Amino acid sequence: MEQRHQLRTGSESTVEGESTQKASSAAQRIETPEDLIRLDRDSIPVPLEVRTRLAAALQAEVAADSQRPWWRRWWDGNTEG
Amino acid sequence: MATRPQDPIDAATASTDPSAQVDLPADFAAIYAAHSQRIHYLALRLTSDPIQAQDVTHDVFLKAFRKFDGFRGNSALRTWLYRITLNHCSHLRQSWAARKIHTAEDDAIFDRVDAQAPNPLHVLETKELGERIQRTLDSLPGEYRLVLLLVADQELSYEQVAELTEQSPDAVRGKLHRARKAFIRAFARTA
Repeated sequence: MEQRHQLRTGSESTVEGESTQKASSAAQRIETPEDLIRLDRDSIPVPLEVRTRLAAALQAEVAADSQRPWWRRWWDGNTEG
Repeated sequence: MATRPQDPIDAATASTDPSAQVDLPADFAAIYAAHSQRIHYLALRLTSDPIQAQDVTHDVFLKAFRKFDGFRGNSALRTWLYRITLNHCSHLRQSWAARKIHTAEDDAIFDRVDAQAPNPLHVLETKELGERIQRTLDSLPGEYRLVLLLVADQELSYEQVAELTEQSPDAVRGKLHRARKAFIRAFARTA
């Protein structure tokens, strides 16, 4: 499905290109580059693989942490910057 | 003050489905849900590499988990996540080490190119939009690229962007103005 994006500077208010009423109403108005970047960002989900890898890494980390003696955990917890 | 998220092993074993994959601890999952898309996007556009962006996102949240106790608010956490992301990406992009200082003549180049062209209405498919934005950002000076990507997060103040980019808020505003112009010119050339 096509999406229509208009990028314009603040001083420009005209719309060029396809100018049918229907197309104009469907057009998504982009006022600044940041608007365009946000539109792009919102269309890109984080791959599920990242979450899966992270969950496995956290599991391994917590497991390793639980095997350390209590005094070591206390010491690291009070000296980490 | 934030508390350490619950043990992910507990979360996994609590599941009634033994075949269920281990997921993030619930409270950390909320942090991940709130920030991961912005962190991943920033990494993607700074590295121009989807695989590296995944690695950066993973590493940033792993660090966040380790430091979870230290954050008292969402704002501090967001800024910190961005800072870690920028550090990761700067290591990946060696060119950042020698960040170029741009002159008025550099800006004039962007002003001259296509200066007479009307501002376009672009008809794009979403995937094409991403490719064009990437090419546009890649063509910009690093400072402009960074300011645009950070300011695009509306939850970051100019002061926070200034802190992240190690300059004054006024400098951020000035660079943003020039970055917008440069982006618009460069984006038009990607059509």
